[in-house]
Amino acid sequence: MNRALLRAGLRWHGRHRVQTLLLILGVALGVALVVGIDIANTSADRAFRLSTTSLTGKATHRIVGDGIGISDTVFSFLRRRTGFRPSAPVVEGVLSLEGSMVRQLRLLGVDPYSEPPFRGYVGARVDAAAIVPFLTVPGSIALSSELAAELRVTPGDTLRLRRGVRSLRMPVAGILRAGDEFERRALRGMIISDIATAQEVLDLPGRLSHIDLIVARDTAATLAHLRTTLPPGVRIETAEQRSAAIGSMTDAFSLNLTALSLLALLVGMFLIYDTVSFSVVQRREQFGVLRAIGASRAQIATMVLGETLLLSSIGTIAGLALGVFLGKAALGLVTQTISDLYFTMTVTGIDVSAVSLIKGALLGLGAALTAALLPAREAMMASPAGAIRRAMLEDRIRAMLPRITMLGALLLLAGLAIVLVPQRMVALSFGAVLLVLLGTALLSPVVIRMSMSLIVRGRHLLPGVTTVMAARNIARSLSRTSLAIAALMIAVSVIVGVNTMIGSFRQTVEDWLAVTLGADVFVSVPFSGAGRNEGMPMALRDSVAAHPDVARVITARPLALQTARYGGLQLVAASDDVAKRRPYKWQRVERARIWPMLHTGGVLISEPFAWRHAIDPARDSVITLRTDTGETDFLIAGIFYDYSSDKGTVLMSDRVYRAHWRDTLVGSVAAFLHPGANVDAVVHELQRRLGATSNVLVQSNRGLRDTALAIFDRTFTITLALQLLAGIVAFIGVFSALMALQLERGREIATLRATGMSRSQLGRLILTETGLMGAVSGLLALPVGLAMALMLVHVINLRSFGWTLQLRLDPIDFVLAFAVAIAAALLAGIYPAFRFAQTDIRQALREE
Amino acid sequence: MNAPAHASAIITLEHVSKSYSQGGTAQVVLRDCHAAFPAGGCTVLLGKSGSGKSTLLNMLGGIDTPDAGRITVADAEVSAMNDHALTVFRRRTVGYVFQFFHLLPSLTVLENITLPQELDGKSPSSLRSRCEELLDRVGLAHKRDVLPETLSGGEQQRVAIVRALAHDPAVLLADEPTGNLDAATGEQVLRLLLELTRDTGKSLVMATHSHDVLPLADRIFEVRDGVLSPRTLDDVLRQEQALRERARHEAETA
Repeated sequence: MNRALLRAGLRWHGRHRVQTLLLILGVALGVALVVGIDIANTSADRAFRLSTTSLTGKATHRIVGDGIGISDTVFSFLRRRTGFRPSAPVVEGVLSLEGSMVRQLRLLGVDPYSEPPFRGYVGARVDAAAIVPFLTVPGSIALSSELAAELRVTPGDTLRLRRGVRSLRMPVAGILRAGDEFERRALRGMIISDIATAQEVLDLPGRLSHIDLIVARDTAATLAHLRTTLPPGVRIETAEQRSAAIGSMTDAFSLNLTALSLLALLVGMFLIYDTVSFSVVQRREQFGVLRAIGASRAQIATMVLGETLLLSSIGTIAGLALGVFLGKAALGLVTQTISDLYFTMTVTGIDVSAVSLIKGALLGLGAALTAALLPAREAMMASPAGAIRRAMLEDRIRAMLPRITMLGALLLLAGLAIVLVPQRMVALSFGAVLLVLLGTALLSPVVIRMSMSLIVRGRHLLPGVTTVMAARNIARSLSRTSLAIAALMIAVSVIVGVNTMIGSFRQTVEDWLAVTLGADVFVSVPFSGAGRNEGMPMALRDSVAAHPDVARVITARPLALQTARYGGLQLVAASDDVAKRRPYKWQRVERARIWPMLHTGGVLISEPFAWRHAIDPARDSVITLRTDTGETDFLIAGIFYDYSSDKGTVLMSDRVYRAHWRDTLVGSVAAFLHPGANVDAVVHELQRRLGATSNVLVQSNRGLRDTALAIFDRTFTITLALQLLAGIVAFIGVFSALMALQLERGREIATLRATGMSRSQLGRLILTETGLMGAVSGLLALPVGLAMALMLVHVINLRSFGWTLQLRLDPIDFVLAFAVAIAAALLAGIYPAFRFAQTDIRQALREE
Repeated sequence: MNAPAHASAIITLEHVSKSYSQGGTAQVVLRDCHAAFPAGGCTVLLGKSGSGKSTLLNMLGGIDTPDAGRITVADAEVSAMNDHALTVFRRRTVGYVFQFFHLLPSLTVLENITLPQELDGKSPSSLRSRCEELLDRVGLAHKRDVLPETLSGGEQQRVAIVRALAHDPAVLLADEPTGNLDAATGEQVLRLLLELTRDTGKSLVMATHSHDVLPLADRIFEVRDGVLSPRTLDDVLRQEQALRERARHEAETA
C-alpha cells in the first residue's frame, strides 16, 4: 500500500472527525453486540458444564432412569449380580442458600468408599482430620475452601439452606481441595455429602440420581453384559450424552440471541458503507487529481480499503472491549433465563475466550471491508478527467434502477418462498428474514421515486415551494437518500416486528394462563430455578383440603426429566384437570372422555413436544417412557397448547404416574373454593397456617398469573435490550447518512442563500427533506415490520420452540414506529440545518 | 487548414475526434483535428469556454481518450494505451497544472510534490533534494512543511507547478493556470511557469481563453467549433480588432 496515499486518506479522516467517529462507532457497536452475546452464550455454556459436567469426574458411562432417579437397589444389584466394580452411586440436586434469592448450590451425595477412582476432590483431597465427622455426623457436608470463605463458614459451623418447602441446617464437616482450575471453579457452586444425607435432603428416599461407571476395557462386551443383566427401568448412557442433551435444550434460545446480534452487525454495515461511501464522494475531486497525476486504479482502491481497515481496526478493538463489558451485563440475563426455563445453574462467571474475540474481530473487519468494497470500486472508477460527479453517480443509479428493483423483488420473493417452504432449520428461516429485509431495502429507491413524484404532481395542493423542492432533492439524490431510508426502514421494521412478536407472545400466554389456571388458590414450592424437581409432602394437600372454604383440590407434580427417547421433557402428573377449558390442538376422543382416558394410562402431549419429536398422532399413537417398571407405552389422548416449556410437556394422571414411578411428593396444590368464599382471606389464612412449618408459597389465581408473566417478561429483557442497541446503531447510521447528504450540498445551499433564502427557510427546507425521508422509511417499515412480525410469530417461533402464537396487532406499536422514524430523521436534520445557517456564502460559492 | 503531422514533433494529432453524450444526443467537441507541436517552447491552445481546448489537453495528458484518431506524445501513442499504460504515462511523461491548483489538502507542500513519484514506487527521500531545489526556485522552500490551506492562491499554483515538474516530464500541460488568480499574481505565475519550462527544456502546452498570454507563446492553435487551427499572434490580434470594431458599430447604430 502506498504510504503517501494512506497518509493522505488518514489525514482526511483526521479533518472529518465526526464522520470518522461514526465509522469507528458503527464497527465498535456491531462488534460489541456480536462479541457480547457470544461471550454471554459461551460463558453460560461453560457455566453449565461446570455446573454439571464436573460432577462426572472420570466416569465414562452412567446408569440412569427416565424418571427422577433410580432405585438404590440397582447399585447393590450391580455390585453383587454383575460383579462390576468401578462404579459409584450419586444423588444430586440443587439447594438454595437461605436468605439469598439467587445463590444456588449443587449438593452431590456420594459414597466415599466408591469415590476415589471417580472424583479426586472427594476421594483423595478431603482434609484427613475432617473425614471422620464427614462420615459420622449425620447431615454433614464438605465444601471447598473458596466456597467456605465466600459463605464465611469453617468446619464445625452450620450452613443454612433451603430445599423445596424445607429449611435445612447442615453442619460443615470438611474442606475440599481442588486439583485444578476447572475443579476449583466447579467446586465454587457445589457441596458434598454422603448418600443418605443427600437422599434425605433431596426427598429421594431409596433413590439414586444415577450410578457412575468406568468402563475401561472390553467396552462393548462389558456394556452388552451390563445391559442384559441390569433390572428394567434403567439404561446406560455415556457421560457426554447427558451433558449434550441438557446443553442442547438452549440451542434455539442461543441461536435467537445470535441472530439478533448479527442483525446489529448488519445495521452497522449500513453505517460503515454509508460513511465510507460519503468519504469517497466528498473526495471525488481528490481521486480525480490522484488519477491525473499517476495513481493507478488499484492504488486508489487500496487507499480506500486500507484506511477503512485501519479505522475499523480501531473500532474493532474498542468493540471487543465494549463487547466484554456487554457480555458481563448480558450474562446475568442469559443465565437468569436459562435458570428460569431450562436448568438451574450453580456456577456463573464470565469466560472471555480467545475464540470469541477472534470471531468478533474477524466479523468486524470483514463486515467493514465488505461494506467498503462498493465505495472503493466507486473511487477506483473515478475518471481522471471529471472525477466522480454526483450527477454521474445519480445517472448510474437511475440506469441501474430497473435491475436494482428486479433484484430486490427476487430477494423478497426468495425470502418469502423459503419461509413458506415447510422445513425445520431455524437458521435458514432467519436467513429468509434477512432476504426479505434486504429485498425491501433494494426496493426502496423505486418506492422513493414514486412517492416523491406523487408529491411533485400534487404541488398545487401544497403551500409554498419548500415541500416540492424537498421532494425533488430526495428523488435526484437517490444514491444517498435510498440508503438512509432503507437503513431507517430496517431499524424501524425490526422494532415493529420484535415488539409485535413479544406482544403477541405475551397476549397468547396471558390468554392461555386465563383458561388453564382454573383454580382459585395455588399452594406451591417457591420457584427458584428450572429442573430442580422440588416437591412438598402429600400431607400438605390434606391441610389445604381441610380448610372450610376449600371445595376440592387438585395436585400437580411437574418434573424435569431426561429421557432416552425424547431427551429433556417436562412431565406433569395431575390428579385432575386444573384448566377451566383446556385448549386442544388435537384430541383422540371428545373432551369429556379425555381425562377418564388419562386415568387409565393415556397422556396428553404439548404442542412443542409434538413439534420437537415430529409426532403425528394419526400415525404415532403412543409415546414410550422408561418407568421404574420398565419401558411403558402411553396412549396419546390429545395435543394441548402449552407455553410453560419449550422442551415439551407430557401430562398424565397422578394415579398413573404413581403406579409407574416411586415418588411421594407433590409440586403444587390447586384449591377450588366454595362460591362466595373470600379468596384473599383464604390465601392469607393458608399462608399463615402452612407457612409456620414450611416455606410454601400461597398465591391467588391472579398472583400466580402475575408471577408467570414476570418470568415471561424477564425472559424477553435481553431481546428488548438487544433490539434497543440495534436501534441505536441504526439511528447513528441514519444520522450519518442524512448528515452526509446535507453537508455535501454546501455549494447548492450557498446558492440558495445567495438568491435570497433566509436562514429559517433553509432550516425548513432541510427539515422538510429529512422529515419526508423519515415518513417514507416509516411507511415502508409498517408493511415490512408486519411481515417480520408474521415471520417471527408464525415461522421462527414455531420452528425454534414449537409454539403457536396468536398474532396480536396493536395499532399503537405501528403509530409509534412511524413517529420514531420521523423523529429520528428530523433529529438528524437539525445539525446540518444549524451548520448551514452559519455558512459563509461567499466562501462556499468560491469553492468548486 | 489543418497542419500536417510532423515526424520530429513532441506531440502529433491525426484525425482526432471527440464527442460527448448530453441529454441523449451526441455533442461534437472536436472534429478531425490534425496537428503537430514541435518540441520545446510554449504552445498555446486558444478558445472560448466550452470550445474543447480542455478536452484536447486532457487527451494529451492521458486523462481522456479520443473517439477516433491517433495522438502521440513524446513518441508514445497515447490513444492506443490501456488504463495501466495511461497511468504510467501520466506518472512519467506529463506534468499537469490545473486551474484550481488541486493540491491535496491533507498532504504538506513537499508531500504533494513528491506524491506522483511515490505513486511510481520511488522513495520520497531520494526525491527530496530535487523537489527542495525547485521549491527554492519558486520561493517557497520555507513553506515545504505547511499544509496547502495556509498558502495564498498564487503560492498554491506555484506548488502545483513544482509538482508538475518534479518528476522531470517531457511535456507540461497547463489548463487555465492563471484562471483562478488575480491579474498581478497571474502574471507572476505565468512568467515563472514559462521560465521554469524553458530552463528545464520542457515543452509546455497551455489551454487558455485569455489573450494576455499570447505575446509570450512560441506558437498558437485555436479551437473553434471543434476545429483545431494554427494561428499567428497577428491573426489573433486582427481578429480581436475586427470584433471590437463590429461591436462599436453595432452599439452606435443601435
